[in-house]
Order: sequence, then structure tokens, then C-alpha cells
Amino acid sequence: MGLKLSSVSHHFDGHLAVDDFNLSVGHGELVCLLGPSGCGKTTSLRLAAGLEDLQQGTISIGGRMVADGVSSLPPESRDIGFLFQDFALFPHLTIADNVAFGLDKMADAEKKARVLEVLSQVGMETRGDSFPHMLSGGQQQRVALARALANRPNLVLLDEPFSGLDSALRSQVRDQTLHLLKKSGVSTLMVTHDPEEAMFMADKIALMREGRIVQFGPPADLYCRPVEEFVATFFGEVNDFESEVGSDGHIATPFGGLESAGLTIGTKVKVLIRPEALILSSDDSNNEVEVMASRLLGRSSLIHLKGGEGGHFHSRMPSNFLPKEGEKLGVKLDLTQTFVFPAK
Amino acid sequence: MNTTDTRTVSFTGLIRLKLQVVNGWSLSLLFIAFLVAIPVLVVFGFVFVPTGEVWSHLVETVLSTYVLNSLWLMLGVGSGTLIIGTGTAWLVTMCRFPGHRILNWALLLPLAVPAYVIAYTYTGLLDYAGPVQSELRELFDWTTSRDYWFPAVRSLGGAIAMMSLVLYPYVYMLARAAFLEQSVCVLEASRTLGKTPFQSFRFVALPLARPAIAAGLALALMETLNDFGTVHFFAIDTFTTGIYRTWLGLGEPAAAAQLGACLMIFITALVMLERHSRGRAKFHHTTSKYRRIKKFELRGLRGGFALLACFLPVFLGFLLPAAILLGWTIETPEEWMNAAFWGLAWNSFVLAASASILAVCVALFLSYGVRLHPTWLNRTAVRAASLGYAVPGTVIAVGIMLPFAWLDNQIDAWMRSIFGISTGLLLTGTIAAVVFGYLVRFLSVSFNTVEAALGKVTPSMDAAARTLGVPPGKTLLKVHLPIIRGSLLTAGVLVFVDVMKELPATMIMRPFNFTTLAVRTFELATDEQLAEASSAALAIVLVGIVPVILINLAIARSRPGEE
Repeated sequence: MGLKLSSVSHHFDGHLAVDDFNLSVGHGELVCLLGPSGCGKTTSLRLAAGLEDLQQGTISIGGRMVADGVSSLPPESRDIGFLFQDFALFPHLTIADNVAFGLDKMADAEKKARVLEVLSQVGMETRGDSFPHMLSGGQQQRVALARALANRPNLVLLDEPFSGLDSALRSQVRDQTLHLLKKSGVSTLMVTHDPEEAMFMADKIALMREGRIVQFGPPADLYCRPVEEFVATFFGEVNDFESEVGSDGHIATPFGGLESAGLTIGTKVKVLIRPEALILSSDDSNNEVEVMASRLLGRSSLIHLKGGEGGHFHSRMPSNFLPKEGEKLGVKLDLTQTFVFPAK
Repeated sequence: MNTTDTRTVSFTGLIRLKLQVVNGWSLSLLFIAFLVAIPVLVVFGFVFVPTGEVWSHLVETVLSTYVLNSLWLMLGVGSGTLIIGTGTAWLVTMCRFPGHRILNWALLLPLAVPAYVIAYTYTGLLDYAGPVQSELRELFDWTTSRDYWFPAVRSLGGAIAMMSLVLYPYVYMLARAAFLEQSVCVLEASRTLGKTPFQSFRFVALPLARPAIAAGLALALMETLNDFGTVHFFAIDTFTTGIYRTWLGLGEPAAAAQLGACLMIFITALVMLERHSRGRAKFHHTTSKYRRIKKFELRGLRGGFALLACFLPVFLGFLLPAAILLGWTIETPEEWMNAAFWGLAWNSFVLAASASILAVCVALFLSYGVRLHPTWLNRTAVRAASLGYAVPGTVIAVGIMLPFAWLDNQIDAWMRSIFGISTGLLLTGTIAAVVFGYLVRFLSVSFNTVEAALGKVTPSMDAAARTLGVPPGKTLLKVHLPIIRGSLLTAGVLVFVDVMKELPATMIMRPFNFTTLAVRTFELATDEQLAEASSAALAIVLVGIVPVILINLAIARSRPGEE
């Protein structure tokens, strides 16, 4: 087991930042902690690193207990690598010295070889004599990753590692990082607030809200089988409206009835439909909607629809699909992207 | 994750606090902070010690004089520094006139001159026997002082003028920074709303700069209360001279400490006022847009007037006294072309160097300790330890001498009862005591600089080093020290110069027959040997120019929107 946090709670000033938190990262697994800002994901990461003192619960890394709420190993003794949001390269040291910073126990020759090895893994072997300020953001990120991996840690912790990069560079660096981490076989816990990034990187995602994990599992589970409304909305825009289970056991929507999935008749429900689940065509006349506006967004088109009693819906259609304002279109509902939850 | 700043003491906070006290860093931090805070605590403690007759004697006779003189002095110096400092700051930042670029930094120069030095210089120049009055007498055939009127230099008014001339840079410095930091956009908004440039200054710039000006004023007033050399030389009885006299003249340490406590309570109020203003200063920028200030062109007579207004403070506060000192120094080569003078310089250097090294090390230790463990207790302890800057040197001397003498007596009595040996005074009147006094007085100077520098090292640097397997102490050496090297040097230089200038604490605490440049200046001047005092005074002024240069460099680096 790479990392195990059991019953961890943490508060600042009486504010509960992490609440009875349990999480396991399997050996060689890459787990993403995903959630809105202030949900406690960074605190959990810093607790794992020992950068915050554990108040309650236990943490073990690589099968070794590192903190149990009474005593705790300091970060320098936990055998981890940490990649910081701002990269935190030491400005007074060269790239090579930065990477060698944690390698005190190695002999000089071995140290030199190791530095060269990790630097070449990230494609920075020629910049060993440069100073951090001479590198671009993407290069700094790669050096910071090399530094975190240099001492062959049991666990790598990444704190929003791509948020300091501009969007064009981000996807490229993300790709390289994923493959390097996978190749080195290290267990990894990464924090991000970007669901797309989490799905790109993770073997498993733990979605957090208010200090607790709402859902934990492979990305496809969270996207296609959300356990509650929060999970479905967090992964993207949804059309939502209230309805109830009718006497025929179906849930009425402007796009036809839905299965009630075991809910009793009369139950108030919330229906969530992803825009891409509203598939428009001109030949289907069963459920008719009126186009209010349509815009091309690049890879897809967004169509604003008027449906039901004053309802306003968004449909996302592939490529260039731009019906005219006022046009009437038929709708087909993709049920794998449609979710029903009992209303609160 | 900005949790440390807002953490207050709640119930859970106390539990954490208990946990965190029992680590090495926090324990040493608390111990050192306590040690440095002892003098201040001792003086405060004396408020509760009954002294009976001495105190009532003081109240009946001299206390009202001390209070009145100190208040008049503060009122005078306060108005003087406020007018000179704010006025010149506005002229050089907002207007363009001949010489404004040079005056921009030259206006800081009087900071290099200690108040007592300028006082001796002008006394030598303007006294009855001085060149000015002699020339006047010759010119108009006057024979005695009864034939004409000439303002007395050695008076309350004279002291106010002297101190205003060298203390206005505190107000100038902060007011100028505030004017420059203000976004031009705000002033331009005011102009588009129909206000003239002067109205914009009056109703926008000045109110925005008020916290900074108040902070500068508080610094100037603290220095005013700290001053001993000037008021002693001019024979004006203030709190500071009163403490000195009660201690050494009347031999009443407890009463002296109580006078000190009164003064400290007053200063605490001043400091709180300053903190309050500074707290507001944090919020006074409403826009982050900086634009180069478009200076208001002053031509002809108005330009000349602006030049004169800015040049006079520099001339009277630095150029003239420095020139006079230089002249006297050249006239009296026997005073400084000998081994004794260089011995004095060496003494000053050793004291200043050891105090500044110590102050920087302690400041580094304390600020790093708080960074590691930012508990309520640690932060309070460090704040208490850096109170000394607000406390006059005489008060600190009293606060150190009392416990040290007590400790010496205890050790002596104990040694005599056990071994029959008298150890005498081990701590009192030693170099170590003097250096400790400087540490107490100037720790906040180094602490503020070091803390600001550490604050610029992002916390993820610490975290990066720690997660790479390096413990806290080694992280300080390998990461923080190299990064903040420059600031440590600055902190050291600032303390060094302050120690060179320091007079009252050195006077009271120095070992017998141990003399520094500042003490020598004071002694010779007190003997009316003003010319002879000039070489030592000039040396102090020359060293004092170094921080002026440092401050100018720091301001030039840190400021957006300035050419």
C-alpha cells in the first residue's frame, strides 16, 4: 500500500477542514483528490507529507506508520517527494544542485549519476548548470518533478502541479508527467480542482466536499454513475429541473418520461441532464423544442432551447450544428447522461 | 491555506499550543525572547514597588517640569517634522523643479546626523563666542550681549529646531513612499471630477498618506523622547535627563525606574497609535494600477521657491553642520591624529560589530522560530522582545543595571558564604552588559528587516526542503540563509550605525574608563570643547551616511511608478 489515511480529522480555529477522512492509494497507483477550493484536499495532502501536524487519525506510507495523532514523523523522515504549485525551486542553487538537494546520503559519483539520470528523464539534462530563473515555467515544472523523484521516494504528492502553467503548455506537461510517474511506478496522490485534469491523470478520483470524500472510484464511475447531484454537477454543466414520480411510475420531463428507479410514487426528484445528452434532430417529432439561439464554440455547438413550461435548456452538439432561431426540433435523450436524485 | 495568520486562541488552539511549546525551537525562542524582554518587564515591574519619599519628592519638585518640557519638545518637534517632512515629500514627488532629482535622495541625509551632534555644532556656530555673533559684534560695533538681541541656541526652542532638522527624514521617508505608492489613477480620477492639482493633493493624496505620515511622526517622536545628548547639553530637564539624574545623581534606582515606567506607558500609547495607523495603511490601496507620476512643472519664481524649501532642510540639517565639523576637524589634527582617537574608534567598532552580529543572529533565530511554529505564544513573545526600540536608552539601561546588580550581589553573597571569596561585580559595568543593552534596544531594527526578508521566501521553499529529507535547522542554513544574505547584511549595518550613534545607554552602562566615539563627543562638548569634539562627531556622521544610502537603494528597487 502506497498511502493510507484512516479516520483523519483536522481543524483550524474550530473550522473542520478535514472530517473523518479515509483514503488509500495502492502501490503504483495514481489517485487524484478533486474538489472545489476550500474542500480540504490540500490540507489532506499536507497532512500526508507531514507539513501539517496530524491532530486525529493515522497515516501510513509504504506500510509504515508515520503519524498517529500522538507522535508523528517530520516531513524529512517520511521518504516522500512533493511537487509544489509554485515549484519552489531554490533560486540560489543551479538546476543540478536543486535536484541533488535531498541526496545527501549518496556518494558524490552516485549523486552525480542520479541527478543526470532524473534530469534526462524529464529532458533537462543539458540545463544542469542553469539557475531556476533562466528556465521557462514548463521547464521549472519538469525540474521540480525530477527533484521530487530523485531520491526514489515511496510516495509522490502533487499539489495543483499544472496550475502555474498557461493552458497551451499545460496539456503537454501533463502528458509528460503522467508517463514519467507511471514509468517510475511510484504511488502518487495529486490534488487538483480541475475535473478534466483529474480524469486525464487519475487511476482513481476521490471527489471531496467540506472535508469529506463524496465519491471514490475510477473516473468513469464518477462521470457516468455519480452518487449524488454534487458529483454530476462538478464534472460539467448540467440542465437541472425538478419533477416528481408520477402515478404511472415514470418521471415526467419535457423530453419524455424517465424510469423512476425504485422511487415511490409522489417522490419529488431532481433531474440532471448533461447538454450532450440532449440530441437534436429535425426528423423526430415526439418531443419538440424551440431554438432560442445557437453558437459555435469550436469543437461543438451550444444550442439554447425553450422547452416545457418556460424551461431553458442547453444542448451541446458535435461540430458545426447551428439551427436558426425559432426553429422547432425534435429531441432524443441519452439516458446514460441523465441522472435522477430524490430532491432535498 | 492561509490559516496561520488568522489563527486565534480558541479552546482547540490552546491544546495545540501546549503541544507545540514542548519542542526545542519554541522553548529556545521563548527563553531568548524572555531574556531580551527582561529590562522592559523590570521597569514596568517597578510601578508596583513603593519608593515613598523619593517619589513624592520628585512629584513635588521636578516631575511637572519633566512632563511639561517633554510635552513641549514633542509638540514642537512633531509640528516641525510634520511640516518639513510632508511638505518636501509632496514637492519632490509631485512637482518638477530645478534639482528635484538630487533633493529626492539628499533630503534623507540629515538622518545621518545624531541630534546631539547637530546641537553641538550649532552651539559652536551661534553661541556668544561663536563666529556668527562675533562677526555681528564687529560689524555693528556692539561690545556686550546687552547691546543686541540674538536667539539663544541653548533653549527649548533651540532643541526643537535641532531635533526637527535631523528627525524630519522619518516623516519625509514614509510620506514620500506613501505618495509614490498611491496610484496616479486615484489622483487622475480626482482631476476628472473637477478638482485642481492642489485640491487633489489636499483631499485625496494627503488623506490617503495619513497613516504613513502618522507612522513617520511616531518614529520621530520616539527619537525625541529617547534623546539625551541634546537636552542634557542645552540643560533642559526632560524625562530622559531626569531618569539619568535620579539614577546617577540622587542614587535612587527605583525612582528612576518608575520615571522610566511613566515614560514607557506614554510611549506604548504612541506605539499603539502608530500600529493602528499602520493597520489601516494595509488597506489604503484601492487599485493596483501604477502609472508614472506626471509631475507638475514649477517654473520661474515658484520653481525657485520649491528648490529653496527643499534645499534648506538639507543645508541646515546636513551640509552646514557637516562642513563645520569638517572645518573643526581639520583645525584640530591633534585630536584625531593620535592613537587615542583610533582607540576610541576601535572601541565603537567592536561594540557596534558585536552588537550587530548578535542582533542579526537573534533576529534570525526568532523570526525563523516563529515561521516554524507560528503559535500565539511565540508571536507574542517575539513581539515583546522587539519592544525595545520604543524604549529610551536611559530606561533600558536602568532595566538592565537593576537586575544585573541584583544578580551580582546574589552571586557575591553566595560565593562569600560558601568559599569566603568576594566576586564583586561580574556582569554590571562590563562590555557584555553594554552589548546586551544594544541588543534589547535595537533588536527590532534587525528583526523587522530579517522578518521581511524571510517573509519573501515562499513557505513552499521550507516544505520543499523538508520533504526532500532536510531537517529545519539545516534548511535554514542551506536554503534561507543564502537567499536572504543581502538583507542580513542590511540588518547588520542598520544596527551597527544605531549603536555607533547611541549615547544614553552607553553612558550609563559602559565599563569604567571605557569610552566610545559618541561618549567622547558628549564629554568634550559638555566641557565646551566643541571643536575638539568634532572629529569623533564627524566619524559618527560619516558612518551614518551608509544606511541613508541603503534606504535609498531599497526604495529605488521596491517602487513601481517612479523613474
